[in-house]
Amino acid sequence: MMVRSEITLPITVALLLAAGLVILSSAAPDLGFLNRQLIFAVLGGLACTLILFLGSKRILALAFPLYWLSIAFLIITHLFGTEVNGAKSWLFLGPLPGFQPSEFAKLSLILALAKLLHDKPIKTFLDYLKPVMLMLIPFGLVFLEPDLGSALVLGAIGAGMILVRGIPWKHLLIFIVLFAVGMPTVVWPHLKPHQKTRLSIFLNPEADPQGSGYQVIQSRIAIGSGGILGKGYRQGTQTQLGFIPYPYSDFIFPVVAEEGGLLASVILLGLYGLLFWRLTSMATECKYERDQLLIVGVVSLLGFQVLINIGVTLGLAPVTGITLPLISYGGTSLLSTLTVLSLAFVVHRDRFKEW
Amino acid sequence: MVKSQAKAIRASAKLPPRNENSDKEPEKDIKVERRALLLFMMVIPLSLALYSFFHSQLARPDWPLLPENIPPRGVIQSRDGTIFAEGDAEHRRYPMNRIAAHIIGFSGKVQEDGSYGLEGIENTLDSKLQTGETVILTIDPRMQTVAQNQLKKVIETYDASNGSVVILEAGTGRILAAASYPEFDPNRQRFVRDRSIIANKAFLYTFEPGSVMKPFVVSAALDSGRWPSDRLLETPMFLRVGQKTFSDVVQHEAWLSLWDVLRYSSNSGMIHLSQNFSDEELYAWLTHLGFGKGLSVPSIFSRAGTLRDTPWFPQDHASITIGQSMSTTTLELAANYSIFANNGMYITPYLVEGDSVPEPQQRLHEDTASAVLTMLRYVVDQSKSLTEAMVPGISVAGKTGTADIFDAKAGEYIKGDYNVTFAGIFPADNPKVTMVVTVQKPRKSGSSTVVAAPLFGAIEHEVAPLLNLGFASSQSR
Repeated sequence: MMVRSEITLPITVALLLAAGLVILSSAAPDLGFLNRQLIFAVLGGLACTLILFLGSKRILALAFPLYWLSIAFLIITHLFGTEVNGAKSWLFLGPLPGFQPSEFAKLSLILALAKLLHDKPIKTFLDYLKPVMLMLIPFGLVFLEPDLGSALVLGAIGAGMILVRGIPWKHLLIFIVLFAVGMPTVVWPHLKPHQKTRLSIFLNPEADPQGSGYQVIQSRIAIGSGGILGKGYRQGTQTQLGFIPYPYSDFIFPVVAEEGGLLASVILLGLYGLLFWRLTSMATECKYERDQLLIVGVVSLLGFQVLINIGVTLGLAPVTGITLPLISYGGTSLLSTLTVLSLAFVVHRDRFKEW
Repeated sequence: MVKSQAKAIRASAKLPPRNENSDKEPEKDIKVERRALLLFMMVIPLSLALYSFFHSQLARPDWPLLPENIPPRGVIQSRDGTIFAEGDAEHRRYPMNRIAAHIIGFSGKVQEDGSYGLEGIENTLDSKLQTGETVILTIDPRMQTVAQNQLKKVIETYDASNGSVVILEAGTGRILAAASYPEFDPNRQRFVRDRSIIANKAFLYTFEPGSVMKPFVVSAALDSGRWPSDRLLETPMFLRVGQKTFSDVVQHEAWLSLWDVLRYSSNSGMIHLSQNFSDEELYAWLTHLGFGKGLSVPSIFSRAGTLRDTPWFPQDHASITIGQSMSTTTLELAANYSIFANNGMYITPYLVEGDSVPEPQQRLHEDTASAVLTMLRYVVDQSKSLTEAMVPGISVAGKTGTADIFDAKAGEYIKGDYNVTFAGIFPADNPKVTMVVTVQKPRKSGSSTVVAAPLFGAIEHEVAPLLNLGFASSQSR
């Protein structure tokens, strides 16, 4: 007997990836971006093949070694990292193309948390100690780079997985209160100036239209000017004339909205909806909690990224530097997104496997 | 081109540069001390990575990095094609979830002896399954579901500790259903903390059956010709035997025929009847009728009831007559009751088509078996509460049993805790099935008439249409 193989997920991912390349060829300043993105898509495919070949048993056996390796990489980044946009988050090792260890940390955090939280009910506050520590180590290291966006993604993974694992209602209430009190008193004073500006400008971008508010204002103009059907492929003035900052990475959604209008935006969001619907239903089909949690981790990671990225472009979230998974330009990001998706695929494929 | 114009437009509009931080001062090289500290910090995650790698399964020699060959494993299904277990040895899944879980059991990782099965059929028929052969169960998934659901409902309603149901097909010995409560899902058996739940109560849980034993002593008396059914027995409400006083529960006349001894479940009547047998004779009769020996069926992992060796103390002889101081399982009891349904033939129950079972044996004369069957029908027909519990229009022959529970730890019978049983055959005029239901320690009622008989009736209500029985089907013909 064969397990009916999963097709919805690969098809959805392929569609998003294809859509991403089409959008990128309009948004990117030159063909080099497209070529590099294609190369990383192929590399991502190779990573997927490797994961499918290894199977969920072996990958989960590697969860903690990979986790600690990712921590080691994050420390190396503090030592030899290269600063891009105010954050020391890139690592260039010899002739290899540069990569962001924080992406690797996201992936291994999902694996490690899935393994740790498996079959361990959370009842007292002591039960949080291990999973929260596991999340805080990479969170802290990434936060100090300082890469707030990636740190928040790590936080979202941890919070999502612990919440789905199930915590008592009372605890949830306490955390909400702690968050409300802790944000302005503890977190805010420790933010870097450029992060502070981003957060405050989020509330009122028009206060500094030529400076910090520029990105969001231009992005909103682009989205609004697209109308229902858009201005046409490669015809968007905001995009093509360079008014949108980083139209190929963080601000790729305004490109879709300007050139494809409401229609293309809804189709794109629909594809994401299909992706997350399928992922969550795959989680419920799994037999072991560790597999379910792993898929939940993937959903938390990608869902948070989509939510925040599009939120940023609409002015609904502060600018944090989070890319749109599978669409935005970015080698490490694409590679890591394809890898986590193939992890979800492989644990679902091997869901009845004894271990 | 639009793009070529972009740069010029940007420049003339004096827009801010794309890179916000391009005018930032170049960062100074970090200090040597900090670098040393960070290098030192590296040691921690790297050693943890190495440590966790060498403690992971991947580092074990029996865990190759390349995919291994996973052996195939046979499907377990019912006669109507409902699949209970499928998938190869490492991808085993149980589409019916909790239904028949105790029977199917489950498999796990390969063990030292090369087997995969851990419980149930997966365990008992492991070698057959390993050859990829399909195992066809006698279980009817519809009846199994009915039995499990009704049993669960009654146990939850009466706050009982556990229980089981067995349905046997008359004439063949097929086990059509064998329910056990508490239940579990074999797909998620790893998460079952209390492993005692996994044991199939219907096959493995031994209990003192109580009054449901009485028809067997009556059969012995009739079959050996030592007491005809109409001769009256002295039936006082209290009777002292050896060091024990036995009392009757239901008020009745001072002298009763065997019919009414069963109807009123008179302990004193039964004890007087059994005084026609020596310890050895009674032991031989009960063993002959299937008690204390267990079943020898390869697919069934069951436990035998206990029947202690003779000689007995007088109070033990009396107790055994009324189904105490001895024990049986639900399966054993159902198999032995089937003798009445099968014209005196003992047919060994079986679970898998093609099981090698002993040949059927004539254990009672045909007329004895039919006489006892008629008496058991009389028991149900004469009781308003029993008749009301059953399906109208289908005759039921059966007997209730309420027994004290012996606590091996305390060394005494527990006050207020009973097991309640109903063993029956329907339709009594043309037996199709034998069914035994038993519920242990119902807290909200200690009466078999209140707990066990309605459970029997509730299952009968849903099983009868599946056997083409009942008011509607008889009318349409």
